[in-house]
Amino acid sequence: MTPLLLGIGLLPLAALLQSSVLPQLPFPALRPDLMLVIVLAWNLARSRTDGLLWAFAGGLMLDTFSAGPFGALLLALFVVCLAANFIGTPLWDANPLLPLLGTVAGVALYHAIYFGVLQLWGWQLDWRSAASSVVLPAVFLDTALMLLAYPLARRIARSIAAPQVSL
Amino acid sequence: MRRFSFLGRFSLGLLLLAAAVLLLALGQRAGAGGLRTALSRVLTPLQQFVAQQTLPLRQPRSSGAPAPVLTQVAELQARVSSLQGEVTRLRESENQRVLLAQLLKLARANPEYRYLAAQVIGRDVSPYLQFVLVDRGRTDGLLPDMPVLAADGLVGIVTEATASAAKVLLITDPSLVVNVRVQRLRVEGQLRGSGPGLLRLNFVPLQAQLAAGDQLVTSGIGGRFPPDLQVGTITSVLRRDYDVFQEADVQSAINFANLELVLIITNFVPQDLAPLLATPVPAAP
Repeated sequence: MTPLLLGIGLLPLAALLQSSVLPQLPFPALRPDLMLVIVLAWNLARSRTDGLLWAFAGGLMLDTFSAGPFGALLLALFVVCLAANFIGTPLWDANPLLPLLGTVAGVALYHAIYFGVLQLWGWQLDWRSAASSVVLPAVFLDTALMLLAYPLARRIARSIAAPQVSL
Repeated sequence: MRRFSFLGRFSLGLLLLAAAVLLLALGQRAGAGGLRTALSRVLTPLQQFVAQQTLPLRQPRSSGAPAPVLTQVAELQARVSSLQGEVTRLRESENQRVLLAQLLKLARANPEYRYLAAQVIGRDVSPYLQFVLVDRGRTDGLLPDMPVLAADGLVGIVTEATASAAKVLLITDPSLVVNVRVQRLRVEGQLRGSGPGLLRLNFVPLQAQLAAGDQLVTSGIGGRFPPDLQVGTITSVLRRDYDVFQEADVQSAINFANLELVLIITNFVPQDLAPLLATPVPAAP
């Protein structure tokens, strides 16, 4: 399976789950950023161009299901994944804690960028309430999900990586 | 080779980043709006399908299975599973019937309006925005600014409609202000969302003796909502002697987390009061 096909199957599913299924579960306050976790895990596990394409496509899908400014979620998601992708898999692989620390920083950056764009666009939001009721739970929840997503993404990335041929 | 690969990735990254910034800057203009509409056209039917399939998630499932009985275990389990599926479907039908009956009662109570029932098929993926998506759009006659109700009161307002779906801004979003009246005292104030499921009443004169339990209805002032729609109940009052106004926390009767069916008033025309509020410019001598 190529990363492109995997993305075509996985990303719309993640967007639909995040929009239509997760909010119905018994704890509506706990809403993980499923798309962010999946796309970030892929960029941590595989620093290639397909990770960037996933981030772009995933961001567009999220924006379709949001009433916020079109492109805001895309920008937040893409910047986080771009940073993870450019830092590179060799570094993330160096220590098992690094992907988790990267996730904590990534989730915080994602929310900070999105929050900043909403404020710039004139939405009235309280950053203290957002930090305590949205960002903090999201950091914990997304990092917990990353504990599952990253090893899975690494396994898939390794199974589809082109074999290294040395001459 | 490796260096070329990094350069290619770097260029692609910058290109896509520039595209993301451009899309954000363009906002709803032709290009970006068209892209959003096209994506919505593809994803909305999928979302409607997923919402239909996951309806039972909103209801508690019945539990328990018969004790295994030797040779007929598999057959009995299959039968139980089938019956449980039927029970879930019937329970779902019953819930839908109750909801529709409540909405019908609401519609009968306000016969001057024309209503369109819609099912909630999704929620905003952003935790900061209080929106829901409904399965009716422009082809059903939906337009922005139409008020949205549920059996227990005001839900919000339509902000955007595509051909087959619409986005509804909930009254719990801080960006939506609803002019309300305290029914018992006949005093007016402004209601604004203050977080998920929370509402705050502002600009009520200090002299008014607000109390927990007071019912709020829309006042109709501002022309954005029809008057006398139920909005919520005051739960606590914050009164400081040095303030000009007092505030109150308000609880809506609607459980926004489990909103399933809504009614949209399609024949209410919001009044545009802006020209009347503009400061008159004196004519030149």
